[in-house]
Amino acid sequence: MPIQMCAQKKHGDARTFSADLGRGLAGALIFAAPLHMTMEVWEHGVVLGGARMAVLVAATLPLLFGLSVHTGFEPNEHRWQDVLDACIAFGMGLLASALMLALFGVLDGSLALGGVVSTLALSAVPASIGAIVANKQLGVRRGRDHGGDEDEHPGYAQELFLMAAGALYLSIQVAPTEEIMLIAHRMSSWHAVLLVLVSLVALHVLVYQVGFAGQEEPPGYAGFALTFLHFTVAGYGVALAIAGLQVWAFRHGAGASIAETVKMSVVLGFPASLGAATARLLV
Amino acid sequence: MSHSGQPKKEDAQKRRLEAIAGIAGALLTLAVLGVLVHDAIVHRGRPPLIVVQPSETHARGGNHQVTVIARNEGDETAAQVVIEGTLRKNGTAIETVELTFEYLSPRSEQRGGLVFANDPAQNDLELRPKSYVVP
Repeated sequence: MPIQMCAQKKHGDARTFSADLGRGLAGALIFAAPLHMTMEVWEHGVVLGGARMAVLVAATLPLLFGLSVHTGFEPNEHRWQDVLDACIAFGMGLLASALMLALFGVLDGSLALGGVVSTLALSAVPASIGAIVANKQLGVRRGRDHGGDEDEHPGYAQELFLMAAGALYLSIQVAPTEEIMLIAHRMSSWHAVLLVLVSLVALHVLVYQVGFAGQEEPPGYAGFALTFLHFTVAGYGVALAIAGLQVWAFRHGAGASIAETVKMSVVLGFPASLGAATARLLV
Repeated sequence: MSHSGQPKKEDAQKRRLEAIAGIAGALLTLAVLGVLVHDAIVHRGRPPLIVVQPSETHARGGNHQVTVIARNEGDETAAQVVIEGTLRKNGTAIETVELTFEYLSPRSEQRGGLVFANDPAQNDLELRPKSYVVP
């Protein structure tokens, strides 16, 4: 697991714990650096207010829990350890965000407390994902002594879950920016239809064709149409849902017509699809 | 997660989940395509048409805040939409203020506020869109 300390492990000692925390903090800094340096993140924290931030955080914590369950090297013996890992990861995300935003002079006392909390919570979303996957990406593989098979072939539900995590991770890097609205405004509806098709093709090709690490073999029992429906279309649905949630959370759709809001979701759905397709690379 | 259990039952469960997720994804995708195609067919490239109306007025700290609602009834997005509000007394302009909306997408509306030193209730308030750019 990314952050093991919380769990009393037989091979976990204080040094491993602090090394895990260090990697977690490093992962948080790396994954959230683009957002820490994005103006809209500072402003949105102030503008969005409590309810939307609460939804975003509420969506992130179970995601961190799931990542803790499915991506670790040392499986936790109890689910509560994963819960604890998720909380620690979110704490690391908050800490990394507080450090960087204070260093950049963003948290300078001109913000009300609510604004500070919202801004930190927003940038803690990608930062905490970074913290939880850091040990996989940056750590030393310690080996799993049981259940290795499930790691190689995650079940379908896990597959969908990983797609959601990848979609959120990649798309939230751009979701708060004004460019999502600007791009949607520049595109005609036909452009958006084309982007839907491009996203679907990209998702399918990245998962099954180009040969990245973790590439899937199309399941033997299903033909192309079924594989496309069960994995690609389902994955695009997940990506669209994640994108739509963010369009709502960042108020991009405020006052806009349904067609414009859908267009913004399709625009943000593109990075979300790429993230969903490459989730297996990430975690 | 363990595949050693009853493989048939798990297989059936997996197929059912695949079918549900696949159909949900397909419905969402088709709904999105439906909205976009409908929008593309029904609305064709009329330039922005901006309509402004006042909503409510509040007296605050010696000033008078007028909330205005701007609506774009055209088919193209307008950016940097400048709304001008003028107070007239007996036909003579006594105060002019303006505000800028960053974006006004088709068939959408935005709210903003104009702050006057004079009381709009005692004078004639005139609101008009002054300029925009196409992003």
